[in-house]
Formats: sequence, C-alpha cells, structure tokens
Amino acid sequence: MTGLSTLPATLYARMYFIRRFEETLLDLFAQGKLVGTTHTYIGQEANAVGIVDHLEPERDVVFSNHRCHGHYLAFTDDAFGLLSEVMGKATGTCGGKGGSQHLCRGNFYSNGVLGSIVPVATGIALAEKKKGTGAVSTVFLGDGTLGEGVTYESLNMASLWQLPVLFVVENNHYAQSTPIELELAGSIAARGSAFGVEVAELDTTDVAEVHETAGWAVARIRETGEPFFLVLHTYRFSPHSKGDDNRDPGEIEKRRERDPLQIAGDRLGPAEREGIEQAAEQRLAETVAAADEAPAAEAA
Amino acid sequence: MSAPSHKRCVQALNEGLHEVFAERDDVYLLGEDVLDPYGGAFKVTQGLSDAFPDRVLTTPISEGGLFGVAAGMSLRGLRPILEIMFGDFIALGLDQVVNGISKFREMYDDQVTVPLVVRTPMGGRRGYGPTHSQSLEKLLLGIPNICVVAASECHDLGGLLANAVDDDRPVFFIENKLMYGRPNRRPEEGHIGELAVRETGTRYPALTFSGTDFTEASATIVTYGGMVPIVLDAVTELILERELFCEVVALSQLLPMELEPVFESVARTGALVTVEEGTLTGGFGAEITARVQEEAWSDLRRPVQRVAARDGIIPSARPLEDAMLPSAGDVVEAVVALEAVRS
Amino acid sequence: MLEIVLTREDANTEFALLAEWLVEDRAEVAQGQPVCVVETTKATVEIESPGAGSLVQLYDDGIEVELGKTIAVVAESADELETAIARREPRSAAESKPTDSKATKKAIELAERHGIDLASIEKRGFITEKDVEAAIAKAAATAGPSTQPALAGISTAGVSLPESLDLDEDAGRLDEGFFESLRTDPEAFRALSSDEKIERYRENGAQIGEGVAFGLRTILVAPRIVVSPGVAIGPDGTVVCEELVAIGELTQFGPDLDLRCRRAYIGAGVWAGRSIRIGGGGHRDPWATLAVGDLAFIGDEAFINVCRPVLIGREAFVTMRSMIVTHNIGHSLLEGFENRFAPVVLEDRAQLGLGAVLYAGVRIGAEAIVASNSYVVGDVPARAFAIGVPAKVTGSAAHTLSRSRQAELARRMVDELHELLALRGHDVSAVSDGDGRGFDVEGTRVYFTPSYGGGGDSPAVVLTLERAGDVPDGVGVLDLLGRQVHGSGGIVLDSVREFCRKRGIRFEPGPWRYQGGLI
Repeated sequence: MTGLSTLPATLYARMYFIRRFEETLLDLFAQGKLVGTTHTYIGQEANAVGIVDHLEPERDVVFSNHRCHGHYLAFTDDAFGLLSEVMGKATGTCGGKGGSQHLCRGNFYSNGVLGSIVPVATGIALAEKKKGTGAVSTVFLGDGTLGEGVTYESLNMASLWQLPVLFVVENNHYAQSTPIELELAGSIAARGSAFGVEVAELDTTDVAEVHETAGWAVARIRETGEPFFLVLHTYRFSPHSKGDDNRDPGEIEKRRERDPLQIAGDRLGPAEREGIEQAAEQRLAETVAAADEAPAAEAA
Repeated sequence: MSAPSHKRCVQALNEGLHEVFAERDDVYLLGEDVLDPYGGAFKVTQGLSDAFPDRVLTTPISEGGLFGVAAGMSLRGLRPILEIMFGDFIALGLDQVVNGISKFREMYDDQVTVPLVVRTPMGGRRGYGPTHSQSLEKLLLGIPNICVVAASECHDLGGLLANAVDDDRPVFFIENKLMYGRPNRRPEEGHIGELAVRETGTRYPALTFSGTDFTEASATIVTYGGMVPIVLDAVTELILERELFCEVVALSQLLPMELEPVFESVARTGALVTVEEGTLTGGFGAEITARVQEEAWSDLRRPVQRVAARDGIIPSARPLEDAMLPSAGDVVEAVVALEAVRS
Repeated sequence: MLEIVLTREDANTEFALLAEWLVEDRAEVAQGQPVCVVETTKATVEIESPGAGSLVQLYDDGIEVELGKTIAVVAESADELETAIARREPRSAAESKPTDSKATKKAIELAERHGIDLASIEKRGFITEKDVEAAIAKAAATAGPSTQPALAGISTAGVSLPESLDLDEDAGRLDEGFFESLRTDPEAFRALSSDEKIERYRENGAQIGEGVAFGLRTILVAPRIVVSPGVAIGPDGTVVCEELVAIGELTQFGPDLDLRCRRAYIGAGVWAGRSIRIGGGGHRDPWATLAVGDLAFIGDEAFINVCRPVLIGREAFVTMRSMIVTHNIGHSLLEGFENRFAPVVLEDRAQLGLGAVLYAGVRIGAEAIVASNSYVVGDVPARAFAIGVPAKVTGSAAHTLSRSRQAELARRMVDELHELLALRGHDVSAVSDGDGRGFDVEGTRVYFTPSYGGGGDSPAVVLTLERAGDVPDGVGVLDLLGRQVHGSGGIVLDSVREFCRKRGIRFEPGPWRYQGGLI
C-alpha cells in the first residue's frame, strides 16, 4: 500500500497510465496491429487502482475477467508483457497464446468466460487458506456476471467454508449492449448478504473513496479470514469491445462529467500532474515501440 | 460363498486413496456425502475423513462450482481429488473443464499446471434410469490437454489412482458402478483365468488378453472400464462354443489416445471390434476406428465393427435397459459377423 | 428362525447387488454383527444379523437379488438349521457359468469320439480341438513304435495316413554305391526292362513286392525304396526322393510321372493319372513330405508343390489339373508382400474339383468339396461345399438320404448295369422284380434287395443296403452302405464291384484292382 503523502499522485499516475494504455490499444487496433478482440477499461480505472493498492502481489491473488487490462496493469505494472500479448508477440505475458482476455503472470490470472472464474478464485482462496499463507483472493465480477449461476455456488461455498475471497462487482450498467434493467433483477448488494457475506457498496468514480472502502474490505478479510462482497457502481466510457456501442451519446457525455481521471487529477498541482502525464506518455511510447519491434509469436 | 480371493474393486480404490493421502499432504478430496460414517455414495472414501479430517471436504451440491474450486486449488499447488457422485453430473462442470481446467496450462504458456483428479462412476445396468446410468466418456474425448482414465476390474486400481494424483495433467478417473462390488482380478503369472495377459508399462497401462498366447486370433476387441468383464465373457463364449479366438485390449488411458497395443494386436489379427457402453455416434469406437484405419490400414482384412449403446436414453425398466446397452451377446454377434466377411 | 430380508429403501430400485458375504455360510453370528455388504441405488450398506445363531446364506455373493427377498436366515437351533439349509435355492443353469469348463465344445466332442480324457491334457489356458488332436497323436505315437517327425506340428486329425509312415528306419535301404550309381547315371538304369530294374533294386536292398511293374524308362532314385505288391508306374516316370519313397499295394501311376520330394509316403490302392507333377520349389527342403492316404485319387496333370508337408487323406480326390501349393515367393515380406510357407491338408474323402487351387496353409475338412476352378485361401470345414475365387462356403457337401431313396437309387443302378451289360453284348435276361430287382447274366443272378437275410440261389451277386444273414458258397454280397464284400462270385462279382466303384462306392477290404471282366 502506498504511503499517504504520495497516495493521490500514485493513484493518479496508475489511472492515467491505464487510460492512455487502453486508448493506445484502440489506436493500434485501428492500425491493424492488434490480434483478435479487446475490452477496454476506460472509465473504470478508479476501481482497479483503488483496490489493488491494498493487495500484495507476492502473496495475494487476483482473478480477473475479459475486461482485465486495468486490473493487470494495476497488479503487475507489466505494460510491455500485456501490450505484446495483445499484439500477438512472442514476448507477451503468455507468449501470444492467451491474448487480451487470458493473462497469467505471477499471482494474476484472467479468463474469458463470465462466471467461470468465480469458483476458481474461491478454490484459490481455499488452497491459500489450507496452506496458511494469509493471502486474499480477489475476483472481479461485473453486473453481467451476476447472471451466471456458479457465481452463487461460489458465494455459498466461500461463506460456508469461510474463505478469504474479495468479490468485487464492478457494475458498469451494461452487459455488453444490454442495459442493467434488462438483465438484472433485485439488489446486487443483497446477493452478498443473502449468503451471509459482509457487503460494502459505493457509487463513485473517486479513487480516494474506492481506495478507502477497499482498504476496509481487505482489512476485514485479513482479520476474519472470511469473504467480502464489494459492490462498485461505475461506468465505462468506451464500447464493450470496439465499435459496438449503441448507447445514447448524451448518457456517456453526462457520465464523463464524473471522469475518475478528472477527479483525481484535480487534486494535484498542474506541474505534478503534467510531470506524471509526460512520464506516462514517454513510457507508453517506449512500450509501443518495443512491442512493435518484438518478434511475432510463431508456432513451434 | 467364502471370502473372495481378491479384494473388491471398491476396497482397492479405497486403499489407494488412503495410501495417497498418507504419502502426500497436498492431496485433498472434495465431494458430496464423502464424510464418515457415510463415506461416499459408493463407499470409495470410507474412513478417509476420519483419518484425514482436514483434507476431506464434504460439499454443497454444486458440481459446476466444485470443478472451479478444484481448479483453483490445483493452480495454487494442491492436488485436489473431486468426487462426482454420478458420472452424469460432470455435464454441470464441463464449462470449467472446457474453458478453464483443460486450457490454463497451455494458454498461460506453461506457467501453471492443473494437477486435479475428477473421480466419478459411470455406467448402467442398475436400473437408475436416463440421468444416472450414462457413460459419458466420449464427451471428454474431444477435449484437448486432459487425461481420461477408465479403470477396469483387471487393472491395479489403487496404483492407477495414485498415478492420477501424481499426474501434472488434469485427469478424469472414470470408475464403474458395477465394478465396485466385483473382485479386482489382477494377472497372476501372466494370466487372468485361462487368458494370457500382457500389460504395458505405461502410467495408465493397457491390458491385452489372448486365449492363444498371442499367436493367431480372429479379431482384436478394444474396450475399457465396465465393458471389460462383459467382453471377456463374450470372448470366453466364442472360444468355448466356436473356437473363435479374439484378443482383447482393455485400455485404461482413453485420452490422450495411445493405441500401440491395439495396433500391435491388429497386426496379429487383421480385424477390429470396438466395444463401449456409451452411445454409438461420435464415440470411443469411432475415434479408434479412424486411427486404426490411418495407422494400420494394411493390417486390416475386415471392416471394423462397433458395438455400443443405441443412440437414445437408458430406460429404467430392466428389459428396456438391457435392450439399450451392449451385451456379451452383441459382442459375440459382432465377431461372428466379422467371420462372415472375408476379404 | 430369524430372516435377513433385503428391504426396499427407495421406490426406483427393484434389485440390489449382494456384493459380499462377510461371514462364512453356516457360521455362528452374534446379534448386530455385520454379515454382508449390499449395494443399492446410492449406497453400499452393511447388513447386520438380527440375532445370534448359525447364518445360512440363501444366495451367493456377486449376484443381483430382488428387493424384499430373504437373503439369509439365522438358525437358532439344529432343527432350524436343517430347515434353513433346505431353503437354499437351487442354482439355475444361468448362474452356473460355462467358464467352469475350460475345454471348447469342439474339443469335448473330439475327445469323446477318441476316448481322450480331457483332464489328462495339461495346459495353461483353453483346451481346443488342436490340443485334443495333439493328445490323440501322442496316444497313437506311444501306442506304436514309430513317430512321424516329418509331420511334426501338423494336425493329422481327420487324415488317415498310409501305413508306410510306420516303416522301420532301414526298410528298403539301398546299397550306397548302387544308390550313387542311380544318381549319377540314371539313363543307363532307365534303359533296363521292368524286371531287370526290379531285380537290381532288390539285389541292392530295396523292398519290391510281387507283381510290380515299372514302365519304360521309368526310374526311382531314393536311398530307401519300399514298393508293395501290385504297384504299377507308367512309362517315362521319374521319382527322386532325398530320403524315402514308399508306395502301397496296388497303387498305380499313369505315364510321365514326375515326383520329387524328401519323403513320399504313397498309400495303397491309390489311383493316379498321367503327367502328374509333384515337387516344385523347395522339394528338397527338410519339410518336403508328401503323404497320400489309401485309395486316394490324383487326376491327370495335377500339380502338387511340397516344400512343406502335403497330406492327402484316404479316399480323397485331387482331380485333373488341380493344383496344391505350399509356398509363394515374391518381394520382401518386410515391405508387406506375402511370403508364405505352409502345409496343405486334404482330410479323408475330401474332394478337389477340376482345376481347383489350394493355397499354402489351407486345410480342407473331411468330405468337403471344393468346386472346380475354385481358388482356396482359407480353411474349408468338414463336409462343407466351397466354390469361387476366392472360395467361399456356400453349403453342405453331402445330404442325408432316406432308406427308401437309397433303395430306389440302388434299383436304378441295377437297371443301368443291366443296360450296360446288354450293350456290351452279354447274354442277359430281362429285369424282374421278384425277391429283388435283378437279372441273370452268364448264369449268375444279379439282384438288389434292401436287406439280405442270408442264403438264396447260387451262383448270385447280391447288392444290399444291409447284410443280416450268412452268405453261402457261390454267393457274393455287396453291402453298399457298410461297404463290405462278403462271399465270392468270380468275374461277375468283380464286374459289379467295379461298376459300383465308378459310382463312388468303394468296398473294404481294399485295396483292390479290377482285373477285367464283363464291363
């Protein structure tokens, strides 16, 4: 966890880098330099950055979903591995085999089938508990994932067996193109409490708030060894994938007034902010150049 | 009447589990109703939770989730054994198998292994009806990067199970409901009963049976699991009634398919019959037939015959179930039919 | 008496597996003691004894028992024990498994026919027809002085081999110098007359019987020569055997015989036509044995290759231009080309049609028929009819005739014989149906009667399906089904016998040669 004095700058730097990384991906995609598909995290950066700052990459485990770049960068800071992975390069995190949705590095995993990952994260927590490592297993869900049945099997087992799982629901209000009103009934938070899991719910794009609540959640898990259900209402500015956006542009504009980057950036002085941004741009440019030059993945 | 001369298969598996748990402390078992005194629906886990209370977990009825839990445990260095009460229920976990368990190692570029074992009984002939009697191995045969092991009563069951636990690959360990209560008949001096037996030295061995000491024979019958005793009965009948000798290859490793013993036998016999209890279409027999014709076309002198369940449900009523599932009589018929086709 | 009942625990199951008895039958058990393991729908359960006493098992373990049935009783007194034992269900046939026997059906049948005790065959594994055949051969070998090393490994079941296989080791052994001269200068020997040749053979150790005739330029070259009385070999014959040639009584070969092999055992009464070729590639091989049973027939221009043993059974027919091969030759067997060396066996009374070919390794069962021009690559079972290229079994070679049908055919034979004799210019009476269908020829009555009860006018030749009485002097009786000749009858009997022979009816005792007569 970052020290208090440097916290706003650090969080901003991480969020800014994720934003610019994702925007760059979309540019590279337009240039035909990406393989397959990608799901960007633009607009939700405060969640990944705010939560992951409380995790220890050497001990804790993160299992993410198809929209995993933000979580991955926040947890591993491995921009080159991720970029070259999505560019189909041999130097990618998984040698080009996984692509955008299937990442693995250290204690970070992601997979592309909604819901599938939740019991796996639960099993990871069970293993870590049995091994006595004290690790927290964090799994990132979306509102769409709540339509998958195994999510509830997992909540049941995590609660039943008192497993150190942090269930994070990033409700971005859309399951691909379907608005939440058409895909989800009832209360999200009650889904956690129904299983006897402690719940916290936030409707904010302010990384400081996310950071604070996530800190509480992780602390509770470490203290009790039991699961925690963290509901974060959020919004993605970018399309689900690329160019598949039928949302009302006015709605997106309105949401952009609460751009997490804006909120976090406003807390810094102009010089500090500019310095962060320049450093990020430079790092990104170098990363793109390096990934571009890296050898393509080839079949053995 | 008297005590059986061999231990029963369920005992062999049970002892195998106890040994594995005693040898390795990274092994866990999860399943429904596995705790003592109940000890699992088929009693394979009897005594295990008393002996190893921290490593035997009774679970909710959540097969889909449990496959994922086991995957997560294995990703983190443990060796979970997942007991699925009836093989039919693996369908609930197939997403985990297809999209996770089988993929993690390769899609994560060999950074992880997924050493888990799914133990489950398959097979009918108990009147349990359409959803508790199936042999669904063929659903697994199309999934790359997993290992499907189907033990028969003539295999070293405890040893096979220990090998599955030691395996770094995900292993489906298919048991058979009827097998549990039968004696675990192992070769003695190279024989089981009147038949000579050869066993491969592989991790999951294939057994080849011959009534002619591996000289000439009319056909090779390849099968596995619960069909093995039925095929051996058929082969005995063919010998005694007609002096028609067949070699039987009882595979225990169904996937990845390693068919050397089948190719070797077909080189001696020139004919092949595949026998499985699952339904016919797109099954074990179909895949083996394709591979044998690729590898050993020149050895085949007759068209391959397949014996399997008919493509339908397994009814509960005895006469209907019997009509559905392949019998020793069906195997005899297939071999006799082969004899009528001379190329 | 306390009953242990398999209770029905759920609605969907009718049977349970009685997996294992935990106590011996009739063992003393205590109340609450687990006595057996039963596998039901979703559980394997142990069943406890309801009380103390002697447990009597009513079913074996490993079988399915209908729920609701009593599987055991606990007898609390000696009386109860007796009653309980009486309740044991007799085992059904289905439950007593066929695997109790390890001998095949064919083996059991063959053993019964030959009086072989299956328990005397020591073998790990199933006892098959071949094992019984080996036991028969072994029994025969230990009974007689000679074994048959030349045929080791080949089943002689169904093949009656010629007596010469049992000859003493030195029977007919030639003086070495003489043998050498035969080999090095055959032409000089060929030029001799039949009697001169026979005399030279005899002087030098060969066994040559009386009445033997070797045709012009015919020569036999072998270290051992045993030729029985009455053998005739036509002109231009060449017989070269590395070890032995033995020919049985009254056997005759037509002209232009070429017989080359390591050992030739030709039976008695064999009739062989002209231009027969026996030998071919590998005829000097250690396995190059030819054995031809008594009364066999080998047609003109037949070809028999003998690099591996060829066994031709008694009364077998190898008809004109048929061909038997014991090997083929071609490109490398490692490249997948066929390269086969294997014996051929024609069992007793089997028939090989005109121009038929037997490929290496085949066995034609007793009394089977291979149709003309067929190409046989697989075994033909006994009494089967096989036809085609490749030959396939399409039916049976023989049909069972009724007694009245047999009598009708015999009467027709009488009519045909009558017609033949008349056409030949013999003085024959009209056919009459008195005591039996018949006629007089040359002062002898020839007639058929279904059953010969003995006696009758003399002289007479009687054809019958059954001899039931004594045969007086001057009467010859031909038992057509028993294939026996009784009494005497001179040239009329000989002529009728020859007439029957041409219809496939060969009489014992054989061999026999028709010396000429009325037909």
